[in-house]
Amino acid sequence: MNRSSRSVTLVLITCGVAALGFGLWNRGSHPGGATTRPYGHGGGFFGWWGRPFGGYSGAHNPGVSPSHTSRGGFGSTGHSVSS
Amino acid sequence: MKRIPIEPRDNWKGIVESQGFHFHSPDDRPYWDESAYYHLTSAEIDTIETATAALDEMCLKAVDHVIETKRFEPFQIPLAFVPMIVQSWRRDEVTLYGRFDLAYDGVSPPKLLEYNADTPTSLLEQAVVQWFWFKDRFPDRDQFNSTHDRLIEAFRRLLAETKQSRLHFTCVETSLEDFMTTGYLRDVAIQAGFDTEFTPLPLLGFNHRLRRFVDQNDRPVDVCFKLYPWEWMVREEFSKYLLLNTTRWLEAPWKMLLSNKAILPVLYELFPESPYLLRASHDPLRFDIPQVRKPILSREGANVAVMLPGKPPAETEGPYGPPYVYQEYHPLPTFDGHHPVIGSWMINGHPTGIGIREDTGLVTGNTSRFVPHIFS
Repeated sequence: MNRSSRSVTLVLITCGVAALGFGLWNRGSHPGGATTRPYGHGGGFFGWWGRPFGGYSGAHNPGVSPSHTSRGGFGSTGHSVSS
Repeated sequence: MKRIPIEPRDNWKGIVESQGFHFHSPDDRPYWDESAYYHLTSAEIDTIETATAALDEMCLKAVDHVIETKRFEPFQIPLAFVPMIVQSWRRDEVTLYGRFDLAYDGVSPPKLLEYNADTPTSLLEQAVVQWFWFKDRFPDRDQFNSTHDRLIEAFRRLLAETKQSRLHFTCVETSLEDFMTTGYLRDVAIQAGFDTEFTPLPLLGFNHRLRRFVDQNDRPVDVCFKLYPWEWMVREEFSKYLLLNTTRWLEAPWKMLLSNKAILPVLYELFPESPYLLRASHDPLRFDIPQVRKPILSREGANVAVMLPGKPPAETEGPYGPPYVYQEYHPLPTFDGHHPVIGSWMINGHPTGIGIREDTGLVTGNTSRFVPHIFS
């Protein structure tokens, strides 16, 4: 895994997220009728954008020994969907 | 349907980045392009919506046909995975999303070019970024775009069906576009009530004692959204562990059939009279029929050959090869020298909106630009 690339990604996203306040993306009804048609958004954007990003908050699973785990069996070529 | 030039918003880069959209200009070439927009009529939007719903219905019937007739060979799916596909279909496992790519000029019925049924991208820009552009520019008009809300519905349905509150997300996180698209879906899942975790794909593990996939903290992965294609997963080292069927994946395994261009000949065979389908075959069409040759497994318009009678084939570059399907050539419309393709989204069983990508070439690829739209 290319960790330096990941760090760059996280910095970029953190910058983006920092510009948002929690609930900033909440939206009201649309005068053009979007909320009365099936085409428009009806809700707001909440959630992850307003939360601390990245990493794990959970503890290591005590019932599992890492020595029994293999990794790297998917994505080892580094190819991505959009590349 | 019109293409109308417009002045980009002041500080548009800052605006879209504040919405989490950082891949607007990859390699310093424009991808998000708000120097123009497409203006459609309400009737045109209704036409696209109707076509999308009809195509989805035909696709589901085509999957059923392939499974019932055991017609898997043209799809080149490793045979060991056929039972997994069949099982997921018969269980009616949830599908979140898919994107039909349509040729549409506002006059003739939309024509299906292909179906991105497993790992469709351009989601964040379709669902969020163009929505805020529209709110800034044309708040008294409308936009065909309920994608965000339908995604929340889809995740709520998944939550109810699986009764698993923790949902893992994975992708190749060194790709900014993949990472942000996955991040957006993770955000939506949180809004639907899931606890979520992100595991970079290379860190996804298999624990041999548990005989389960585990995350980077060795916790079991019960349900996992992957922005990574099935056709790669079933050919990589961990593919054998997929067959244990201990993790529920999104998209569901049965989507392997629809994300494969071998479905195009099946669709045409089953529904030759559909106004939304182009003639398609596993074999070359008659020599005097303009046609397009596509690898059954290819991405971003790679290795597509446009074969017009009397002209040498014009083929895009890429790493993909045979087997191919052959599809009747349908010219894309031209607006000010640009050829748009309509990406029409199907989310949780509903047509939910469009994103328009345009190119000056005949094949839409990963250098095409995303242009916003409105309708009225």
